[in-house]
Amino acid sequence: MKRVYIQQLFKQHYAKMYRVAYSILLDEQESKDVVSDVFANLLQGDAMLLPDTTEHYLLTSVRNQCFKRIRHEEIKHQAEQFISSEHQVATSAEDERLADIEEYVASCFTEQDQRIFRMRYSYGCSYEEIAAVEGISRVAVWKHLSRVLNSIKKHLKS
Amino acid sequence: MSTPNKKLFRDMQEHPEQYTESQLESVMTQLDKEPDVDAAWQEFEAKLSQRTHAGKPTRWYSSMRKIAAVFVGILLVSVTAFATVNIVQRRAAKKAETVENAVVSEPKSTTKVISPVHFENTTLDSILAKVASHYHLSVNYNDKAAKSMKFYITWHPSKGISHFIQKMNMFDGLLLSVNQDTIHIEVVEVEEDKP
Repeated sequence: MKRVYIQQLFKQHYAKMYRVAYSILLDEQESKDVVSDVFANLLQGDAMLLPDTTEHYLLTSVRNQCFKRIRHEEIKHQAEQFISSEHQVATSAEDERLADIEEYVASCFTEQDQRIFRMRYSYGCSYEEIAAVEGISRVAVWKHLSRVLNSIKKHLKS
Repeated sequence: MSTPNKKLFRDMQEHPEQYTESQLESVMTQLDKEPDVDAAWQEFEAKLSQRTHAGKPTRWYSSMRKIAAVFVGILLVSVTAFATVNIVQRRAAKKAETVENAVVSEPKSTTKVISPVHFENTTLDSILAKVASHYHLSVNYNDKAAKSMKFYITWHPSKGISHFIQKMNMFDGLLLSVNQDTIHIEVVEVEEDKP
């Protein structure tokens, strides 16, 4: 993919992508690295992004990378370790598990939990925006997301 | 390099009941703060440059790209499938702002093991025609209206019919079952949210 196009995507989508990563990993540097990795992959690859789904694709990529990190229990390590590791080849079982997250959320949580989960981690909405859409407080949003995230983490580590 | 508050944030995420509303508000404000995009871009460029000069990005990127393409593709289809459910449901209007009827950007790279079929905004009738044919089953609708319902879904022909049925049954308002050599499709009432 052309560098100039990547730069355009970066400037346009970075903030939301970072927000998604930060709220999962809770670490600024790791979140930056995850977002950078997604763009680096795009730069090196030949993926075709449709205009209507670009943001969705990027946010989903970020979310997957974050959960992958959790899956590998490497959240406490430096981003460089992740980048230089030769052991990051995901097995098909891991991919299946990651692909299963949506189904897992759908099967284990209320519709409101699912909506809030998607708003935050698939559409990059802020806590404020979610609270407004759902008609609940930001703290309530936090508690919904906490419940879902804690469960996903256990699911990924199981 | 780690966020000093990471441990605290994680504890707040795992045990929100142990913190005051004010504390939770504070962490949310921090997590939602706007990053410096220009600085991030410069950092990204510098990092790329380092990788290029290190002379080892090709293999890493190549393998990572393939991995990312596969599972991002699969997950994206799942996500858009749920988006379609929301459109079908009576809550469509409320969710319209956040859940869009997205079109899948299918990665070019795929695995040799799985050859999924991506249905994009496809009628149930068309989907089931292909699926039923593959498994040598016939199709029976209790409500013909279901035929025109459209879905975004990925079907894995290498997996059994039960996997497909299970996936389809995650859509509210629809219940699929297999009895002997027939796929039965029922339109069912959508339940209220769980408390």
